[in-house]
Amino acid sequence: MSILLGRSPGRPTPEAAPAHTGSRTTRILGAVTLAGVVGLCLCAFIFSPPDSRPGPEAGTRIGQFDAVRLMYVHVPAAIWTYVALGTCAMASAVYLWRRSAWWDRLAHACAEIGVVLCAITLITGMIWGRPVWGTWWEWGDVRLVTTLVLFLVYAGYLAMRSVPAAPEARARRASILGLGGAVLIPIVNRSVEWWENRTLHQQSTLEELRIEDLTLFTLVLGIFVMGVLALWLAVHRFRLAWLEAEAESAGLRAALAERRAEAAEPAAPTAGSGEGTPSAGAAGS
Amino acid sequence: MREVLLVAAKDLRIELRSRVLLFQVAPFAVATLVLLGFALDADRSALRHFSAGLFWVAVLLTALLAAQRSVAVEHAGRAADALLLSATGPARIFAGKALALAAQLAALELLLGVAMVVLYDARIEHFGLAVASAAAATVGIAAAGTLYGVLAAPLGVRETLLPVLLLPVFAPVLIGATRAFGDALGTAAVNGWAWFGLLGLFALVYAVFGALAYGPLLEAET
Amino acid sequence: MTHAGYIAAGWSISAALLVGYAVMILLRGRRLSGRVPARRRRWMTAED
Repeated sequence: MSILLGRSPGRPTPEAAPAHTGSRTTRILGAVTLAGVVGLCLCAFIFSPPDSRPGPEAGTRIGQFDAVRLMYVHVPAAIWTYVALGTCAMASAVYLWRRSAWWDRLAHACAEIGVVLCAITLITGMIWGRPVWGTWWEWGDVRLVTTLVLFLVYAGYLAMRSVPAAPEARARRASILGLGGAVLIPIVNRSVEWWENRTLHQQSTLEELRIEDLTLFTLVLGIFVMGVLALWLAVHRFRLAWLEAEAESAGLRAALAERRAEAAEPAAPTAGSGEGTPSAGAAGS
Repeated sequence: MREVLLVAAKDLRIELRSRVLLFQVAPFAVATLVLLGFALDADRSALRHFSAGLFWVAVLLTALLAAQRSVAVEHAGRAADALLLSATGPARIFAGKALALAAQLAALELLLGVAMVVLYDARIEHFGLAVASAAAATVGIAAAGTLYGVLAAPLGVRETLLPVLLLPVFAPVLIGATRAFGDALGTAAVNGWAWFGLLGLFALVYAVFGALAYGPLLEAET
Repeated sequence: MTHAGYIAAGWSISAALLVGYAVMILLRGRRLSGRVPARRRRWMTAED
């Protein structure tokens, strides 16, 4: 927990505290991400070879050729999509059990990052599928269709979260939704699998590719970099959720304090003849 | 069990009195079926071939309206509070409401089934399979609709939010019920009973999940 | 390089989405920080 909220809660801070969601942890994660992205680009575009191997007929070559370079984004994004949305479902379950806002905010942060990564997974997958499979979209593919449903479910989750409501009630509804997604996905997967009992998808990308050492290394590097990036995003997003909740209650507190102050000293009637409400309303907005 | 039936009977009685189902939802269902017919051109063989899928799309769209209606009834006049005060467990309230919704959906499906036979020239070859898979799908739709309905109900934007939440959840039902009906109507060479199993699994999972989740959701409302 | 257009499109769309999302989070964090008292921003109290 200290990674998300800082190490020493409650210690008084100088008023000059930086007004952002960063800390030393995020700066380290951010630096690692930036260095990793540079390394990943070098490996993905320059050092790693295109995928090609001798075809069945002499003199021909088959494979994904340079399209394999899309895999270095697609596979890491897919893996971290599942991790993020899985964490969201788990955090939702824990929230229902413990009822602590901490888990609710974690679920929110993970869902948002998961949806962004899921969009990247789908987009890069389609762009890769066009040259390699010859189609943008393939209904017969189980993972493709399941991932799209996954995206829709958690986009709905975020849509529900964006509706203004009492924090406690919203957290409970969201946790049911987050958990519901995890309940649904295995059923969707199974049904799509039976629906078109065939799959174009690489059973495992690692087996399908002719594994050059550098190809494998680049893929693993991509997974690592995307993981650090996802963690960096998660920490910032979590703190943002914290700030949102604080700002909400701070606005309320300010409005309350103002009203109390007005009630305590009914003196100083100005030309407005006792119109106290506008200022309180402004503070609460 | 008596309480479940009481809640269900209450919902059905409201429907009988208000006639919303008869005068608004049922015409919507048939209109959907007619529009889907227009979309596929007046090609008799194509219509028959796709009749199972079109039927279930119409059912799911109609189910959205019915689910919306089922929670709107509860939300108007804070009737949900009275239900909570009646000391009936949340799981029982859920079961009762889902049962009432399932009964309404079954009536609508009957209507749509007749319309499908008349308009799309569909022929039901395996009656038992059609009824069994429709029953399983209906329970699943009703359970999911009741759960997600109460989830979206207190929010001002429920008319737009509920479809966003519910339609992806219906995806496996649409796939399963379409395949099972394809077998029952003789338009798809698949094992319909296997798909009936999947529909049953969906219904079971959502009935259990809904019954467990309903408590925290009702709490959230108050 | 084969499929250069596809590769460029895939990488740049991904990068744009991630950078855009990150910038959005950071900017919203900065804006909201001003409205929350410093002692309620607990991670600021870490030694940095």
